[in-house]
Amino acid sequence: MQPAVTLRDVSHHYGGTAALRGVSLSVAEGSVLAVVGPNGAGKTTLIRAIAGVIDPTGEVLIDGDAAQHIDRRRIGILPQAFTPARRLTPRELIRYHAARYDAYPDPAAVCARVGLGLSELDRPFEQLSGGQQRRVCVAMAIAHEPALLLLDEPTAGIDPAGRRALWDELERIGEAGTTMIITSHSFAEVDRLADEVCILDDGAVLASDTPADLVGAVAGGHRLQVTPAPPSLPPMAPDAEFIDGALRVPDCDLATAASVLRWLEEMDTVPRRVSWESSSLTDVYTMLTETA
Amino acid sequence: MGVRRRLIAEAQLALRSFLRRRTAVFFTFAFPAIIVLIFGVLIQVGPAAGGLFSEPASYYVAGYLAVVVLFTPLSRLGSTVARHRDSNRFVLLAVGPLSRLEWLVAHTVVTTAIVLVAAALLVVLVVAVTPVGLPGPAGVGLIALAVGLGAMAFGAVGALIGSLTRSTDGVIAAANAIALPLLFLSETFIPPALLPAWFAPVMALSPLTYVVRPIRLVTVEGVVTPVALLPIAVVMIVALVAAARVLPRL
Repeated sequence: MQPAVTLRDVSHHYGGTAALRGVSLSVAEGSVLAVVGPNGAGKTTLIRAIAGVIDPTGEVLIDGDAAQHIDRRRIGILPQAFTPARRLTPRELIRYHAARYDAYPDPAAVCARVGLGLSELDRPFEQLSGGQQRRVCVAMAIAHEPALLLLDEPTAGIDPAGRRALWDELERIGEAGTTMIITSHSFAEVDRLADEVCILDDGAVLASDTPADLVGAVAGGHRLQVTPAPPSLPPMAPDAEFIDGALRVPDCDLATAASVLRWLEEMDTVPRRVSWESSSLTDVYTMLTETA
Repeated sequence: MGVRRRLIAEAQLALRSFLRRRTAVFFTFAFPAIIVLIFGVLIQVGPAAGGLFSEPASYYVAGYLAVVVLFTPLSRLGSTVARHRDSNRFVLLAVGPLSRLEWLVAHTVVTTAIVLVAAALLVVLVVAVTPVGLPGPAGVGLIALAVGLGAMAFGAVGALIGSLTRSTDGVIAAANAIALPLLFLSETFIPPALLPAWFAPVMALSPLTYVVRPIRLVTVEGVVTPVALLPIAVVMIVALVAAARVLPRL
């Protein structure tokens, strides 16, 4: 099956600064790709390149067609730090946004899809909470039923409860078959929503795969962490490192963990906290971006 | 069909946003009233006044209207562009089917409608508090056309300023820096005969002069000359095209 989105060797510069450097990736139709990376990694530029807002070098294809020339109705976008007209109500904003695409959905039904009730429908945007405002923005992005949804940090600035509620709604939108590309700094969000993860740093793709495969390939099965860090690195764990005042041993099986703890005892080091946990995307991200 | 609906949607949004900003609504309509009251009632323009304001009261009507034509569109469109850029709304414009020219036309039309309402209120006020009579229907039509073309032209210039400056504060400063000299270099309140001879070419270069002159021909001499609107119509088209080209993409 043809991917919904394909990028081949995509690069973009702002003046002399490289924002994207030879990015290649593809997103299957109906799947969710999460793009993570430090601030300034190129996440927003990647979204803009896919949306056809900027003209990068390389190839950006949406369903096999060049992004610059596709029917704009196929794309819905929620830009980072986006604010619509603040004195309008969600009903008016959704009607306005959909009318630009010649679409005339029932605003109440669209709001319901993102968890907004009838009581919020006719309140001015500026009187809604941060979480409700962001949901209105997502509702605007999906009002014309796009096949591809680009969400640039959709839950930034929202409290944990509002964030979880929005994840529920995004999960439902994804399950309905909409292809989504989401940028995020939240690994809980990525864990919850993403079928695939792309780690971007300094404009280049460091790794891209399913979350499980990334964790397995990069961070291994388990991670041992000892706080505070001992004076030296354990000789039986060559990959061990000091991070933020702690000793961290990636891809650490039970036998290695036991021998590290015996070694600590022999060194007369008494840890305040020891954890041996399954590796996560956070470990993958930390390992890759710190190495880069 | 699609273009019309997009324009209507954008214009409705712009109008609703304006009407719900009470401070903006108040000052948009109060500002010209203040000008009329200062010049028409407090300063008491006319042959008896002497000095700079010795022309008949009807002479200054074009000046009062020039204030509305110049300040409201310049600051409104300029700050609208800055606000849209700061709120990342131009990204939606770049991704969606509404073109930047359509966006500009919708916002310019709304601004022009607002300016026409303010101008109508101003004329009513002038007729009520000064010894100026209402011109005939043809004269009123030409005045409305001059005000409309001027509002569109200066609205487009405002959009240009908003696109080229980096902040809302910058827009306000740039708009004031352009508007204040223009207001006094465009045959608005001070008769050209009272100014040094070298001012004449400067006045001829100001687009506002070509809003003021046809209006004054109606209010002072009772002459309706549609051809006198040609220069401001040309300025309007050039300014709209230029503004549509430089509107931010992001």
